[in-house]
Amino acid sequence: MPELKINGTEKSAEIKAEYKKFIGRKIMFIFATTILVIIIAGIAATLGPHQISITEVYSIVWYGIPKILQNLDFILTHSFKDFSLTYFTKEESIIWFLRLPPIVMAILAGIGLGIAGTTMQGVVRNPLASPYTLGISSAAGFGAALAIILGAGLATGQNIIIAVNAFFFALCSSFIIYGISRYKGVSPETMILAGIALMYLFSAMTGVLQYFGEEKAVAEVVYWMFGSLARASWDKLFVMFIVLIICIPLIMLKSWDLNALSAGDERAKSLGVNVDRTRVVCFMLASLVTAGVICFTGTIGFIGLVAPHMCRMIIGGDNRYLIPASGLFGAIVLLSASILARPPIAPSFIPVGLVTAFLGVPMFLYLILRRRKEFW
Amino acid sequence: MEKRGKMSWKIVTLLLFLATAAFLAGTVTAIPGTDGVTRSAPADPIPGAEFEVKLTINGERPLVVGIVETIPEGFEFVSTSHHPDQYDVSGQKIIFAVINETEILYRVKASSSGVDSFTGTWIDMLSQKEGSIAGTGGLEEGSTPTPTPATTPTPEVPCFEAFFTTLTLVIAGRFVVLLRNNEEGGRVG
Amino acid sequence: MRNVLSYILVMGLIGSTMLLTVMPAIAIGIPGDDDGNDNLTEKELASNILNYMLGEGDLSLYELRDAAHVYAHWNGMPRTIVDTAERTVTIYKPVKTIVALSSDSARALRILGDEDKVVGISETIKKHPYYFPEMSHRKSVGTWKEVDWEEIVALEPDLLITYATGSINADLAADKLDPFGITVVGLYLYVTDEYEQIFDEHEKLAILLEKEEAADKYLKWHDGYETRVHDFIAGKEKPKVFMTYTGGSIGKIMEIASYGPDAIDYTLCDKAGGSPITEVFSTKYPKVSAEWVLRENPDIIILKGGGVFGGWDNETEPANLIAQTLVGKNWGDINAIENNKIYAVPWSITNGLEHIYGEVLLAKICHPELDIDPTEVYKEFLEDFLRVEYPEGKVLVYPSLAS
Repeated sequence: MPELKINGTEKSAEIKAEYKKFIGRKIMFIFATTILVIIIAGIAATLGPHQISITEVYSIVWYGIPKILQNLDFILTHSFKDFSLTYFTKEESIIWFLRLPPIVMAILAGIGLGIAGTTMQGVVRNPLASPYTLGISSAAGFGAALAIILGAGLATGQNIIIAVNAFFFALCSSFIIYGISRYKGVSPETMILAGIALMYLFSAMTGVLQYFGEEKAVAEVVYWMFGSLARASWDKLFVMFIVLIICIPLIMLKSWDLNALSAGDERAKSLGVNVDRTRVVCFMLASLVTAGVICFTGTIGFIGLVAPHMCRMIIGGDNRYLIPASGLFGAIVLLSASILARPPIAPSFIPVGLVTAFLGVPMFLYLILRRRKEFW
Repeated sequence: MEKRGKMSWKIVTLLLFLATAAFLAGTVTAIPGTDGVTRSAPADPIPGAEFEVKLTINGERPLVVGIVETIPEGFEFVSTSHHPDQYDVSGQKIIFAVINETEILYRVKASSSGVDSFTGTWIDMLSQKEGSIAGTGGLEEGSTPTPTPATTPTPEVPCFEAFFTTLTLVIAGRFVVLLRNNEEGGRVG
Repeated sequence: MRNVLSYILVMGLIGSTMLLTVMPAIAIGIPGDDDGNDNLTEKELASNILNYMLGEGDLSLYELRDAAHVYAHWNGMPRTIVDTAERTVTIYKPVKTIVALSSDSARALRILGDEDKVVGISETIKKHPYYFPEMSHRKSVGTWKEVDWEEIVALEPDLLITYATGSINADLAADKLDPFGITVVGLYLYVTDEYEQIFDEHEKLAILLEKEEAADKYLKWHDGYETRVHDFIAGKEKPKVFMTYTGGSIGKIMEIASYGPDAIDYTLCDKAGGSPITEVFSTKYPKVSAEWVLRENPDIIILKGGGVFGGWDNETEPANLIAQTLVGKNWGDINAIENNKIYAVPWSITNGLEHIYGEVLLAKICHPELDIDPTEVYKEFLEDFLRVEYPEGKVLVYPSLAS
């Protein structure tokens, strides 16, 4: 190989240049996806029975923010809704209260699920890991079903109870996995097997609830499980945002350790990484993110599986870049799905969770067929 | 014999129809609000003297009506017994808010220069009706007081009523013609 | 350092915007109530009238007429109820336009005579043009699980009626529609497990729509039949009844579904002078085995046809339903089968405001000597309350009862 003949400094300079180019490409990808998210969000905000053009949408959002900030005292003494009645035109209210919440939710949920999926795949070193396979989604589904079926007729705060229950059970399942791994040793195999066992357990429990539930309530549960952005509102988004803003930086801090893990536990240990700790912390953080998202959206778990894979195929397996990239990619997929979920013949909707699958699978298969490289 | 039986049956039907129509027309008019506002004032006020104008709001309680009276140029509003919060004067216009009252009295001072006509409009707030105020003892110029045609309420209900009455009459007329034809036909046969 | 700073900045920014959403509870107020104390006084009304007549008022004639209405008919106060979602619902002006999101509320609106106010509907209402001749042609805004909020906003309704719980529950709807000043009321208006609730709800809706008389008329009619049934069955021996249902997502499974003591169909059967054999169950919709039914040996079997609204078009369908239900059950020795006392009834009879028909029908099945003709009851409901003609030729029970 001719390279070997090149002296040390030259070689390192070339490698550095190569590396920079490589990194540059990754950063470009992240940058491009960010732009794409903004563009698609803009398009999504123009869709609806009221004709509001894309420039109007942007100007409403742009001028809305100072309008809100200037009237903070009014909002605090009255309410956001009174504020909208007093200060907003109908178009402004439509954008701020009806169109933006689902869009922001699509972005946050896409980011959250994409990142959670990447992290889980890194933690258990398995391409099949996702909130679905680790039982978190079905646990959340069980929590929601419990609230919907047993709480039927319980009207006060029902929306909150469903979300809280889903959140609680999603975390429960990850605590159980955590407990099992503590007892049995934190290995990817135990985690996956425990996750799959839990998935079946919670699915069965949901089944039992559905079996004895009232038909209307059962239909509600099924609908909840499809996943929907229609329940979005600013207070829910706030909670979701808080969960993400706390967890994601922490996950990012661990991204280098996750890179080390991918080389194998022994190698990681030799690099000074506390393997068990990293695994547990990352797993819990990813669970928290997943729970924080799907308790509001219902199970849109597919993104968690697909977004990381697609990004890995494009920019490689370096978690420092892969994690934000797959988050943004998740947002793109979910946003696009939310646009397609609204067919021209309103008022019929397709649950966004289903559209995500229909949209994601062909893209996924295409990438698998195009690329010959092994990624794992 | 049989023929007469048929005839009387037809008359009964006609009568029943008319009765129903009259009843229906009756129910249509029985909606809340006023049926109109009329004004009474002395026909020949003495120039320079004060006199009293009475507005009568026809209808049953509850009543909520807004009235704008325009007094002629040169006339001067003096006072009213109406609740002080419920009237306002602006130029030659006197505005009344009438809530559950059927009568308003106000005093004006006649001009020395001559006589002119009072005008006024009313809007019923409890129904969709509105119209102009009809005078009973007019202040119209000339010796032959031509009373303004009774209230000309504008929208829906009265129109419908008129339409309905006309329709009833037309249908009843047709019936009579039909009956007569039949009768004649019967005679021929 | 820069990262931390931007982190704090973003957090602060978003946090401050989000804080705003804390309190809902919104007051629109009576038009013309200038001091905003929710009491329109004569003085306030008069001053608004004067201003309007002078041509300098803030209120339009439309709003002024609303104000006059509130003063004259509501005593100057808003109308307030607590809906089934336990939300305080207040209206400050007469309701002139309504969006109804369930066929149950559509039926209630017809009984109250307010169908002309409906400007928007859900797909379910669209499916029943026979029962809702005008409403079914209004703009459809969605289904039970998803609606287009923007379409609703575009219709500018004064009131939205939706279920208290469920996908489009009142809380969620209020979340979406409060910023547009659209009042949301959460009412089921079908018979829930709390039997009295539907009457309560009907009355509350009547208060909001100023149709108390119509609601009372319905209630009196209903209570009349209920009392007659109650008095008739008093002291009589109750036959053992087994109620089951077919169709729908659950019914397709092999198990036999029934109603436990908490379910409304159980309650109605009990009120109708039957003794449901499912008394021992604690679940609302217990699943039982064919063998268990055989052992319990009911005198009467009632089979509710899932999804059948307002009767079958022919006798073949209910006959097939019964035949299918009996396949492989080995129920030949059950009293009900021996005496040919297995009846198919449409799903809808025990659901909505017409459930009194269901109650009378069950009573007539349990006690054939009862001197009320259930068909007459249904006819009265349709003709006097829903104001549609009784559809001749509909099969409301199979086999038909000997009268």
